[in-house]
Amino acid sequence: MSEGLLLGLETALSMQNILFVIFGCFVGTFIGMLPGLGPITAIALMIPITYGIDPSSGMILMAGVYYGAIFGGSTSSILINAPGVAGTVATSFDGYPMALKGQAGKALALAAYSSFCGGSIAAVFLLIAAPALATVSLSFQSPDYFALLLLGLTAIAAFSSKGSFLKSIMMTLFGLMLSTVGTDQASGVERFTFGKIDLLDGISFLLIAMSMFALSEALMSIIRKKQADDTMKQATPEVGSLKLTKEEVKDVIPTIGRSSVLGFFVGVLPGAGATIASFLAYGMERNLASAKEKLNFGKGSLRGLAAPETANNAACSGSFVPLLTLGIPGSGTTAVMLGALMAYGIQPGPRLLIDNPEVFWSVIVSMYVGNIVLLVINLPLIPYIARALTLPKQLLTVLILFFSLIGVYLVSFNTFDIVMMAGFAIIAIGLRLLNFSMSPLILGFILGGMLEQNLRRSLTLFDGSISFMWERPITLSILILTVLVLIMPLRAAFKKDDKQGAQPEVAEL
Amino acid sequence: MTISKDKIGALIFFIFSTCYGYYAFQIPLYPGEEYEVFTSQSMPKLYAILGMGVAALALLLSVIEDIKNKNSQQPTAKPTAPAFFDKKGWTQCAALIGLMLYYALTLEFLGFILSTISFLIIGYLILGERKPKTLFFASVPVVIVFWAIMTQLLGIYLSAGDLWS
Repeated sequence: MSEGLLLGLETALSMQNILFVIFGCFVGTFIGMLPGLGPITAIALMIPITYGIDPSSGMILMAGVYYGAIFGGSTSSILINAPGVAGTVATSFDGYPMALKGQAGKALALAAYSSFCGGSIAAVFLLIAAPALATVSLSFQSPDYFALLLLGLTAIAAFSSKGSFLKSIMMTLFGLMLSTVGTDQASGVERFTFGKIDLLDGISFLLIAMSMFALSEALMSIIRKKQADDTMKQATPEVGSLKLTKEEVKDVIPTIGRSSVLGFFVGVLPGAGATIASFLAYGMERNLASAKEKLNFGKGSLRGLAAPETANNAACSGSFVPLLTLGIPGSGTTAVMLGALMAYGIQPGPRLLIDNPEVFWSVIVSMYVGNIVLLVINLPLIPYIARALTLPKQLLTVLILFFSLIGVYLVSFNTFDIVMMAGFAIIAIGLRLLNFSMSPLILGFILGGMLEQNLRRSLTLFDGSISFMWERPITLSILILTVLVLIMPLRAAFKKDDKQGAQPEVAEL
Repeated sequence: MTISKDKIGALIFFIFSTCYGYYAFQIPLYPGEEYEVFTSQSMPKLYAILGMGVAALALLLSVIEDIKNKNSQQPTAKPTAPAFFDKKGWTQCAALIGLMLYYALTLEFLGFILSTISFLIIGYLILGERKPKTLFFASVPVVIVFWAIMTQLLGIYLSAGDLWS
């Protein structure tokens, strides 16, 4: 492990990669701050840039964008009560009341310190857990992978942030269906190409990510213009002092410790992610608080702010565990990263530690660097970055459209892709209006090929019999877990109606 | 029975899965492949069946919920209430989608610089920006700098335009 760590340090601490982390954190903060745009959009916009650099640097840049976007989301939650991403909704519960009391600076500083601590503590867990899990998963075979992929697909639907399980399953299936477009890798047969040469290679993952997230989020912001305008028109409060007193620090330290552990483990679960982690941490902290302290929750409690902020960053680090060790993304954002890694020709999973140790270790080390960058550079710059919230929306929207379109075009140099993007953007808008979540779709799309490949291999290994499902104990255990994950929300769906009331208009994680 | 977002979504997905299933059966197979356990049609067929099943279940649950609400005389959940959807926003959105198609058509014909400058300026105009200074500075320098980075710094080819060659 020490050798790997040194390799990671060497890669992540090169001048070029430090600059990438700084750039990534800065861009991520900027995009994350804009209501409606989340880390998936931020990362998707960065992918075309990363194609020109080596995979380690690309992953480091994307990891920086990820943390930056979460931090940016917290900033808009605190300053204007408009969470940029779902994972920072809980931050606004106490962050915004603090800003109203004239303590915006203190709230931002606490958010930054909590994020730093949560991210750093979780990175230590990741440092220990990821190599250990990678070693264990080396013994995994195709049937186990097939079962794991099923679990990943089911779990993200079960834990879907938008609350509707069946809708998430439908979106996962839609993603799986889209993944079958193109030439079948095994037989060379064309599927769903309708005679179009442009579809022979299938639909590019970048195209789907850009149109389903960046384009549709930008276009939705126009449709919801009135709401967005109302948000933007709110006067951004004065940031004020960033200092915290000794007593205040003492008060939040146990909260940060607890929320880091909780956040990391929730983040490791496929599909759970930062949103669930932040709400769980907030709930846990409120339950642990004394009756007197409880009254302060929702009115500017420091513990109420520190808990979700710590947990969402810890969960971000946690979500890298299944991605790096099993090749299964834990969230929509890590699904996009998985797609990017596969585009580099790197297969995440247990072999990553052996075949591309520099990618594996540099991502882990870059997490520390990213957290330090957020604290040292982004925090003092917050008053200036906050001005992003006052930039003319019409300029930003068109620029996002341009960068999305050109990003995809620069990879394929095919204008048909731009036409397809427009088509998928229309579909995505329709789906968003019907309250469908996009994360399961991207996950299904990315994992679809692997699912088919592993099922095909498993059947070949077992002479066309599906007995691998119960003959291999690991496969059987994972499949039982999958069925449990599937049954629980399904039972709930039968028992009660879907709670779809007021869903916050925020970007997914 | 009210038509809620859930029902519309489930119904659309059911129709989509049915069409997808139909085309799954049209996937060509090599001679003798039909006797194999796993073919190119296998997964698409499975997805289509699952898609139809899940959509049907979602529809069924929505109907049951409706009946329950009716029996208990509770007001049904409001079907759709798009509070902030104004006509202007929709028109702008449609115009921007049209603009994307214009960009696809002109990118290789007019060349990157001209096509992108016009894309940005029209986009800003659609969204209500009218100041000539802003229109100019938010488009021309952006495109020139981007073009310079791509072609001169990174060595990436960007179409000069079929019209001029």
